[in-house]
Amino acid sequence: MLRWLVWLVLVALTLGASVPVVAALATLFVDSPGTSTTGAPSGPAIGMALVTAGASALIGGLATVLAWPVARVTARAGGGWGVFVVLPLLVPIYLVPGAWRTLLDPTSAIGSWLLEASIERGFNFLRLADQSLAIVGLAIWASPIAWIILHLRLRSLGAVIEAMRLGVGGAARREIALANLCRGAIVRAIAIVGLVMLAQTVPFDLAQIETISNGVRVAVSLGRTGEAWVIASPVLAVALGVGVWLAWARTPRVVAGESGRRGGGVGILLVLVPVVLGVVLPMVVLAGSMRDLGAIERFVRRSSRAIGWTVLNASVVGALALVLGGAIWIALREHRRAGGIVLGVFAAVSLVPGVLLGAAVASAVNASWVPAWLGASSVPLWAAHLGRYGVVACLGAMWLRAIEPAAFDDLHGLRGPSARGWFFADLPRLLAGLVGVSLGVAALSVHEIEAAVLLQPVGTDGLARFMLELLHYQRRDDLGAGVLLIGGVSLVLAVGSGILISRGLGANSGRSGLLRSGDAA
Amino acid sequence: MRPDRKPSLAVLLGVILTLSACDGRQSRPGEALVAIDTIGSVGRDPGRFDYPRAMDIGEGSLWVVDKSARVQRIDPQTGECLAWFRMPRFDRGKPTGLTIAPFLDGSPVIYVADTHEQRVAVFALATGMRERPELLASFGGFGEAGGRFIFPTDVAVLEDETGRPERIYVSEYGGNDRVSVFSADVLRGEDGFLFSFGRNGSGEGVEFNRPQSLAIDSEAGELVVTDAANHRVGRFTLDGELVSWIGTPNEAGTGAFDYPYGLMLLGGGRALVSEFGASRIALVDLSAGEVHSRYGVPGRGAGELSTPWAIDAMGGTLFVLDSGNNRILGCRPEGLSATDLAGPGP
Repeated sequence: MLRWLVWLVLVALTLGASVPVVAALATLFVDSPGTSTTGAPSGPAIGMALVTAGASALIGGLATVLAWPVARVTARAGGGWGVFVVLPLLVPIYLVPGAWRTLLDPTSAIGSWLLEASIERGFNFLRLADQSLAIVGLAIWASPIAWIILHLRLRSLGAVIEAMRLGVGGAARREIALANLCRGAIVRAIAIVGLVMLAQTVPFDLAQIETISNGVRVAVSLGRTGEAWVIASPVLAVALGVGVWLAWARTPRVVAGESGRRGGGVGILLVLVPVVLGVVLPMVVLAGSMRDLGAIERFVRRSSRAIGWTVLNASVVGALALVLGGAIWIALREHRRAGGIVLGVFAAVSLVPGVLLGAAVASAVNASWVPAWLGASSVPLWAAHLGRYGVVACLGAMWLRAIEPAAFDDLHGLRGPSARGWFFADLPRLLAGLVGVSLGVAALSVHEIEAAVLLQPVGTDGLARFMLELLHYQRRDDLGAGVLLIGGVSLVLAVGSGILISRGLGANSGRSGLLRSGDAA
Repeated sequence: MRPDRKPSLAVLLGVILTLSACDGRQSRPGEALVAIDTIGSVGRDPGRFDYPRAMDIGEGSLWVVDKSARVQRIDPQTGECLAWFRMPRFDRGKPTGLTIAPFLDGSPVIYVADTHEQRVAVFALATGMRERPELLASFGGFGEAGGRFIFPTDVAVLEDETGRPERIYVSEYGGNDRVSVFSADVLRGEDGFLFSFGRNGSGEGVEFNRPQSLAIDSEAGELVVTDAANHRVGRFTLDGELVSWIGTPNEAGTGAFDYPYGLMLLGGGRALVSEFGASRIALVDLSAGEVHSRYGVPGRGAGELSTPWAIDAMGGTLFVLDSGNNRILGCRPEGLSATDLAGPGP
């Protein structure tokens, strides 16, 4: 019974998230009204591919540099600090560039100086500043991803790190030696952050960085859907490769090493650096840039329906992520290969540029055989957001599975697979972690723009289109109010997510009393 | 935006056009527009648009500038692009305002609010494909001092009795939100700055938050301004004294306006305003300070609107720049006579 239910859920959700992409790709090979297959890129897209690779590598590198000292501290102090570390990832991706861009306002000293220099020297310094802000902002946003990878690796080296402390050589030399020991994790961190960047559009669009995802946006906005798929083909190839690799990879078993000396004092402050840079300072800058804080109250009054609509949809997406996470956790235990395939599909779909995913879903629901009510409902938006962020639920479930002591498997082996056993033995220790991950997915859904603007009918109350307009046209007070509000909602969800994930990880790793520490070792 | 038209010409044209307007295809308030014309679609070929964001009517044509920095001359009858050119520079951003109005010799020219180049550029009318017409004048430059701009949005030209420019009004935003007024000397390359009025703010005084469109009501001797991000429309004397506001910032989304962008004066103290935020057109009684009726609904279907930036009329048809849908919709709103929509004539 449980097994059938799990497979039903997984098949339904996986098809829901992936079929639009496959169907849209299929339409490229048939003559479908409304989908232009003409207009291949006028020139080779090599330039865009190089910019994409360069920007992704740069952001991956910066994010890893930011995450390294944080991971060094949390590896000693424990993963509980992750509650704070993951916050930048769950607030809007445009928070940092959106906030600091207000300082480039032509009436500000910096903005006026840059604009004058641009006019005098014939070089667009303003755009360069915008682009730098976008790169740095994305690196801060993605630094928690790099942190997770580095933290896990450093935790496994606890004893080695302690031994190195006793050795000769200065701190710098020890740090280099340690980085050398972690070089695989460092490369993985740069690569994974770089991969995540492939699907992002809004910050690149605002800063006029001509990445593949931005080229896709332009093609989609001009109705050249066929051309968009062609432009995206390098990214799609990477997505497919990642999906296949994940489908066949083994679930890692994470064994925590000795955490060694507990960190504290100044070291702990390092943990807060990404939070300060990625959440606190941008919000302060935005609030400070507003002429009238009453704009927040006006924004709430004006957008209360849009906020409600957005939060409601995000709740549904979060609930779907919860179901997906639970189902995939069971699948990974009962039938690793099938669970891996589902993970691979969600990972591949998550790397498809959000604009293209939105266009694919829109195209699918506009097919003649699809009932009109479905296209007019919120279902397409849920499918697109599940496609973009379902992988987070899958990876969360995979992590919960990976840290689980082998003793739990032994208990499960004795008990056998049953719905009753899952509900009473497994769910209690998984629930906090799964709900935490789902809240994180809901937070991401709240501020997602790329797919939502294509799926939200014109005139429907929703924040995505409104925020996009505000970001483009720099209506300063409204922008400040909107980003502060959405950032606040996301922050509440993120804190809840972080606390629950932290508790969930503790429960599932056998540190909650469900399993004695000796059993878990 | 153009100053309103000479009544005698409008009445004559109105009589002629009344017959052709009585075809029953009128757009009713509160409903989707009944499109009698749909011009353009998304694209960067001539006759197509990439998010068009300013439009005016002149010399029997629609003039449109879009986000690819192209100015296109469109035949309203066929929808064909008759001429187009690209702005000289656009790497910092694209124009958001375009006005067809007389130059020093009285002949019509194109005034472009070259927003991100901090200037007003005046071109001769375009006649060829891709050929940039002669730049007749350019004024402004970055700065907050008098006569300079941050982000100019629109131009309105006050004509003298001979049909030549007497004053040029330029609106701008970017923290220095105001309206600057120039004499015609500025078109000769001289310092024609006269004065400016307004500042950035949302107060009841002369404060603006992105004044987007200007129109001169020569009947009333007033300048009308859409104060977009304050969600209101202002009436001013030609010397910049506030007559009245219609709508308030606090009523955004529920009251009078929702990001009013485009503006067209109808005569008799009335105006049409395109609401970018609500994707609809409001018929406003400027004297009474009331919205009389609203046309259009948001959407992507036939006659539905998405973020309309501009409106203007010609030959008994109201043309709405339906920016989000990359097209121009031609319609005849109920309650407006052919005279109201006569436009500047052929």
